[in-house]
Amino acid sequence: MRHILPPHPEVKPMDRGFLLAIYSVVSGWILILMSLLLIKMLIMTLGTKGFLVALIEVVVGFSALGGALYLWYLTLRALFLRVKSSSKEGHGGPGGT
Amino acid sequence: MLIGWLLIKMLAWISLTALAMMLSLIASELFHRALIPRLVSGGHVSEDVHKPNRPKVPEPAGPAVYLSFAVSMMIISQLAGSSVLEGVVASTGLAFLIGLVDDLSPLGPKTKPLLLILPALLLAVSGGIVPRPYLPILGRARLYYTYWVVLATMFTVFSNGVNMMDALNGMMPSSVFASTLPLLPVLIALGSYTSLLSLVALYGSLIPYYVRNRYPAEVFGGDSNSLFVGAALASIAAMSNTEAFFAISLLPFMVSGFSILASIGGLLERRDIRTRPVTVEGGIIRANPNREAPISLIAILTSSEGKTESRIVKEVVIISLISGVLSCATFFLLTPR
Repeated sequence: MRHILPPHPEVKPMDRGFLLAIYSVVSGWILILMSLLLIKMLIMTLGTKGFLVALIEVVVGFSALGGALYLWYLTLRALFLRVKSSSKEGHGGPGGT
Repeated sequence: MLIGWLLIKMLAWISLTALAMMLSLIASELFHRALIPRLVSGGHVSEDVHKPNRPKVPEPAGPAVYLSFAVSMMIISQLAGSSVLEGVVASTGLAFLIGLVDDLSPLGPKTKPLLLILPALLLAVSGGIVPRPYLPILGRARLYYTYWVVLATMFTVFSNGVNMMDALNGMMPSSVFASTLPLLPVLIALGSYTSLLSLVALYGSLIPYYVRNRYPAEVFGGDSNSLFVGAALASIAAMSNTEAFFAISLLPFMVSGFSILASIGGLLERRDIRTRPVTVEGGIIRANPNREAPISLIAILTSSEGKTESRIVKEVVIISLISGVLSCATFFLLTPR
């Protein structure tokens, strides 16, 4: 038989909003590093000679950063909506920033 | 002989940095004392919407913060013989003026970011910028063509990011301190002393403002303050070629700015966003339960539970400090030099 103990009064539930904010910053940092790693791989593969090659590297690098940024936003939004919908507190009052 | 000369040079820079800090701190304190009563008597006040009784708070304090920075920088540029500092004063001054116009008569949501390219152009023509940024993993890059686009983008993104962060009492100055303090060793390691003393002078200008802007706020900075601070950070990053590291340390500012832009689907003025990211009830701030509400850093922090203004600001400071430390670690551990 499964027994569920009541939560200890001194144990506070995890602040998932704060953790999500930390996740947003750390994942943004990883994303920047991954984009730069991709550019480094491009430079090592294509070389750095010629305007056209340099232009391709810049365009691919920025496109990768843009695409990764959009994926990052979609993930953050999905997590944000999940945390927000599971919050049991009441809502109301006038809007703020 | 050489060590002695280097020691004297270092002592001179330390003295100049300390002097820049003291000058901007004293000037900012005096300007705040002179400006705030005039703002009140002139009826330049705004409602603090996050307080239950919605008190009226004088705004904008931007002139006191910018002018103290400018005075300090002009004196130091004469002592140090560095003309690039005059470029920084001019460039940040233009950003301050754009913000002041916006404070007096709101600019359009697309006009403001476009206008913020002008301070970048002014800094570029001042002649002190070398388009060779240090990049994590890659090392020192040569971006002779694309750099100027990056510089203009950086001014717009930093200024708007700082502007978005100026939402709660004391949040903007405290998060600027927390995210950029870990970058001081980076500037010292690179020997970028002009950037170092500009950053320290910015701290000096912001301290008297922070004392008055922290909870419960006695003054608001306005766009003139936040756009100036954003432009100052962009200028310091460009002077020291540490653009990428400033971008990493200001990640919480970007998260807020980018999430709002992406979730509302374009450029809109804060006052024109119909569904607010958060709701306020009895001094407790919560993420707006509406699924269509924009995502901001404050909404993320309050997504699981309602929080007081002071608690949110403390958490933003912790997050800013984390991003600052990440940036510093990226420079020392992941950047070839």
